Amino acid sequence: MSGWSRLDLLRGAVTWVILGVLLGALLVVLSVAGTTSMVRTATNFLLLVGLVVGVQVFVGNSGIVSFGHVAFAGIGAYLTAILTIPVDIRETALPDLPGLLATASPGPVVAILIAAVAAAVVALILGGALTRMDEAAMAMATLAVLVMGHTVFANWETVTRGTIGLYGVPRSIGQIGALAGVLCVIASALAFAASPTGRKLRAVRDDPTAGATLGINTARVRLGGWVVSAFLTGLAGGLWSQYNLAFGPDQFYYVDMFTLLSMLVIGGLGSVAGAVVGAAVVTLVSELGRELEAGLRLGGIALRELPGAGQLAIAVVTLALLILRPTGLTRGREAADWFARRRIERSGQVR
Amino acid sequence: MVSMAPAELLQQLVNALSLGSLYAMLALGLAIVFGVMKLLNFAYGELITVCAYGVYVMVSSGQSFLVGAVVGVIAATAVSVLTERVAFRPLRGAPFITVLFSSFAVAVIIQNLIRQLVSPRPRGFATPGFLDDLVSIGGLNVGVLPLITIATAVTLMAGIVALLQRTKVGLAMRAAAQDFENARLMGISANRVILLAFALSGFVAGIAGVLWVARTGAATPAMGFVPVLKAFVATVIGGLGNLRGAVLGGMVLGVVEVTLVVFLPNGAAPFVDAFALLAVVAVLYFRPQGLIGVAAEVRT
Repeated sequence: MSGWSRLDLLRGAVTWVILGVLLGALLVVLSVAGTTSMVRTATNFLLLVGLVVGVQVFVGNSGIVSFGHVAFAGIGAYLTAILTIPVDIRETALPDLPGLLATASPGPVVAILIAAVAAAVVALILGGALTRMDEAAMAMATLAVLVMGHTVFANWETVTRGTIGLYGVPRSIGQIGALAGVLCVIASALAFAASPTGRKLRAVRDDPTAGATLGINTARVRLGGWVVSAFLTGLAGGLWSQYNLAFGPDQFYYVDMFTLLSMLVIGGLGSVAGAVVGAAVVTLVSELGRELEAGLRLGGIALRELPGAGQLAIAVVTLALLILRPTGLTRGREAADWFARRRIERSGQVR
Repeated sequence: MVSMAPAELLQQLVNALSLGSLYAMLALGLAIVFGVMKLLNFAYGELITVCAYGVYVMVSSGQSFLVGAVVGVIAATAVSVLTERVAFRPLRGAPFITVLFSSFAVAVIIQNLIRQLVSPRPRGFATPGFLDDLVSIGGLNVGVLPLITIATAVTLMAGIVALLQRTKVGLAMRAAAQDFENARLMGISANRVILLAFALSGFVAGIAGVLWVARTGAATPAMGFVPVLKAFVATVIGGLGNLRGAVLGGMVLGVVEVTLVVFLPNGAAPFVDAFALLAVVAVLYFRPQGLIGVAAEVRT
């Protein structure tokens, strides 16, 4: 239990290759045969995969729901955006930025890393209290993280421009950059699952008593997973800001957290591949929902608009899956196991 | 530090007690279901929303606010029971996280159904004028609504204590909260106890919802988020799984918020929620099991 799992590393490597090939193939096919808007949807899908995989690192391995991760995505997005907006635009749009934020322009890659570290530091401070609670209390208390994040984003006007939101981020990545970034996040998530902390975290999730008997410090391994997960979510948020260019506080609130969590439930909490599958299903459903929201046309009669139809559809699919197939579409298996002749059951499936 | 006249201090105290009572009621309704089912019902906030729309429909069709309030409470109770039947009963015995997700999905479904069926836009309605009046008690001007809120909370809690302590169904609920399986072995019907817990939870949510809309005078599809958040935080402060803790947690949260509003400098006003939650997290650092919770045991 104290070392890295070679089996999990191997499974992770194979999974990473499979997911990389699938996601890469999707981009290639759409770039050759699809429309520009399809490529844009696919790129946004990749960026969402980054976010949801970041969340999966904690929620999947620990089995504890976090409502707070969009706050980490928000920290990543805001900080990266501020550090990459050209200094002259910053002077007019955000004239009262404190200290280094006003002048530093480290370039997109370094900016994203700085932002991810910032998200991890915030997670470390809050996590000290959160990870000491039991499962139910911690899930509730993560809601406080969500609200604290939103309150700060919506009101710290000198830094975030409040409810108006930030704009003027120069586009530094396209679909290739998004793919590369997301594959980094996926690789880190798979490596975490094979790491000593990741394995201990799943052990505690599956059997707290046995975990404690083996001398695992529950609070400490949870804190480890929480911080790594916040780092990756912050990273994915930073990446997201480099393609979405203008955003406001309401993009990091409970609607988006619900979307991320539905992706996990639909795909299967227990695996990184599940997060990817879930993101794909939710993207498809919400694209269909968007068509519906624009108003249906049946036999020449325009039906009235259906506001929130996409969200409603996702919620219904989530609820149906929870009742009919609670381990999600992948049943918690990694992509490596989809093709294995002898399925090696993952020791830590979320039942 | 702001200097304050004693009279003003007393008025703020009434405000704090009133907000605290509202939060205490919200937390109580959530804790009733948690106690029996170990379910964190995220859709609890939507019961407030349903109640608010009940009031809106009645008031806007010319009925009095009181009729609206009765309809709102009935609607919240009915929807609470309905969600149990449709979404939670098929998941009985499922892991904690599954049921929590399910309640989250139910919340989104109710919100979006309201968007489809009523309107995505906020709906305002008139609340009775006398609620904004002030009454003078011993030279102290106190709002009518805060007084009604405190009085309702005290009555409601006394009623629930009486129900739990004096009646047979109350005994069954307490037994189920303590040890569900054993309670069933004693011949208590699981379905009946859980249904009753949801009905009671919906009823409490309805009452709290009426007082909530009496403050705001509006119904919006997403309005349930703030009350469910307050209820979650309050139950965590008090200690999960006990009703006294929920009430205490609600009072503490209300008092902390009012204190912050009074003593924080004006520029910090929008950050009150963030500071209040930070204070809560700080408290929980030292008492992760909540103020009067039992120390977290490893569940087998």
